[in-house]
Amino acid sequence: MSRRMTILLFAVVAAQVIGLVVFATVRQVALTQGREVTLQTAPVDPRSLLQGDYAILDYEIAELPEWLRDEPPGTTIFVTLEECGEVWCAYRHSTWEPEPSDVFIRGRVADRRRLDFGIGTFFVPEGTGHIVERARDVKVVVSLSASGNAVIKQVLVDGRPFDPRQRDGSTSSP
Amino acid sequence: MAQDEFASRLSEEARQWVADGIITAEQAEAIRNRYVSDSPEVGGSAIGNRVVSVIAIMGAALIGLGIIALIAANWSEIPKFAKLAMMVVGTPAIYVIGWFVGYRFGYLRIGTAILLLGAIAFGASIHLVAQTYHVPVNHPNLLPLWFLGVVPLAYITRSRPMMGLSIILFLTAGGFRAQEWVPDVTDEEIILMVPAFLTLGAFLFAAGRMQARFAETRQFARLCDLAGLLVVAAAIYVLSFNELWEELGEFRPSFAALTVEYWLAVGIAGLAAAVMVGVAAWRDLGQWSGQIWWEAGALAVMGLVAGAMWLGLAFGGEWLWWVFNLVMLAGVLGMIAAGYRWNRAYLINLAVPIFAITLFTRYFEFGFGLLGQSVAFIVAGVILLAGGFGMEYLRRRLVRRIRESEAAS
Repeated sequence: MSRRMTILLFAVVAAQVIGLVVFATVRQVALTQGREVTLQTAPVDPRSLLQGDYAILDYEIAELPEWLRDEPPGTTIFVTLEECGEVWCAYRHSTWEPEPSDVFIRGRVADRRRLDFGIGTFFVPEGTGHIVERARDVKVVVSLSASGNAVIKQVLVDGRPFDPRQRDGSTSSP
Repeated sequence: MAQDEFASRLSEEARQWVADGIITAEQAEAIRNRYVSDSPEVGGSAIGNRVVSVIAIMGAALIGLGIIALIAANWSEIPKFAKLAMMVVGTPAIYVIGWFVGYRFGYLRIGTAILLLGAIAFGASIHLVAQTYHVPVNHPNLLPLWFLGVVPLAYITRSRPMMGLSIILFLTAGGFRAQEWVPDVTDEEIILMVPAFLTLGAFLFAAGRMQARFAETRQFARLCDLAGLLVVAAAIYVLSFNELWEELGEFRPSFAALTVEYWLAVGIAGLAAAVMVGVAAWRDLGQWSGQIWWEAGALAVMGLVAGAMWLGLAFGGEWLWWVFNLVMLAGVLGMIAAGYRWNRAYLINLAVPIFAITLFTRYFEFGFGLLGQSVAFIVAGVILLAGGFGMEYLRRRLVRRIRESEAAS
């Protein structure tokens, strides 16, 4: 391999590493710098809750109001949130970005005419999916960026942070 | 190292000989294949070299699968940042080892396999980051990112397995992007992806034909040709089912579901394919062999077939399954004819299984009792037998003429 090609090879490898670091950093910044809110998951069919080693999470705020149900799939919808008890609920839906002072989450119209916020998947260690599956109540703590993008921070299973050690019975949920 | 320099020098010289009119492009390719790819003179027997390559690549693939499985296990005992650091440090380390083994110690085939492992580890790292931050595995940006990281390495290392991985990633990334292009994924609308994939196949085919004209990329031509033709054949195969067109008569797909990105991607792929065949024609100037007309014709036919697919899906017609079966048959015969004409056995080797699969599918689709279909099969079979006889007759005549001219000289 010529010197020029060797330099090119390692330039591409460096670009790959930089790409990975940028990808991780963007997510990490969104996780640590964002506004923290807790969202209530909606009950889903238990048979489709788990696919392999990740849980599929559906949210109460993902339901579209009547007047937005004809929006084509892929349309961006902003949901302004308000605190209602332990969790945050949908207060207003809009197709434009709300004021920066509002707490809002960005979603896209997905199939079944519900909103997808990009936080519908929660990866769990191998063999621990049943902890989420058997829970009576699942809430998700997310971090919201200024533009409304959400990153999962924590999953609360029956009021406690998700703990994969529960699989061997060492800890039990209330 | 010395082997690589020799290969590079020979490629450059052969290109110059073609430019000077000393030898033809086909002769240059034959010389290159004789000395560069698996030449016993350069290191071991041809079969031995190939076996080493295959075993090394299998080993790399197995280790890569192991890494992916390890990540998929999502082991919780190791902290998040430690996992990320392992991948961020580990992936370049694999590349460095591959480079040393291949280009410093001279074990090119083993080094290439380790570099391939690095490319797989890069993909695993992307998915590890995604998993750590709970990004869905089917997120439309993950595979395109992997593809963009790997495809330059294929050209830099001139590695066919790396190009093979790039092609797989290219097509899979297209599939993952499809959820953005056709967000309302229903059975009716997803069928609209078929002509889009045919366009991607045409793009790969054109890329293969263009790369055949450059000494630096010629080794990728066959791989791109095969992948492109396979994708095109698969797209036509999907629309060759009678039952599908009957269902489409009742539930017509809505073109309104298609986004601008869909048409943009299809347009760019089609335009790029036309440009690449144009570049191939430009490279053929001065040593006109007529091959470019076949290639441009094949690309034009692919474009027409994609257009027929869109029109068919828009306006329907239960008889259209016949059209796509005839197109498949014409395509198979075209590949066989091109294989004979340009002495490319891989085209024939691809055409025969495609024909067999299509034939068996139709046989099982219609059963045994349909008189009309059986007559059609018999007629088609007679045509093929006659065509086969004609091609064999021509081949024998060609071989006889070559031998006669050799004896005379």
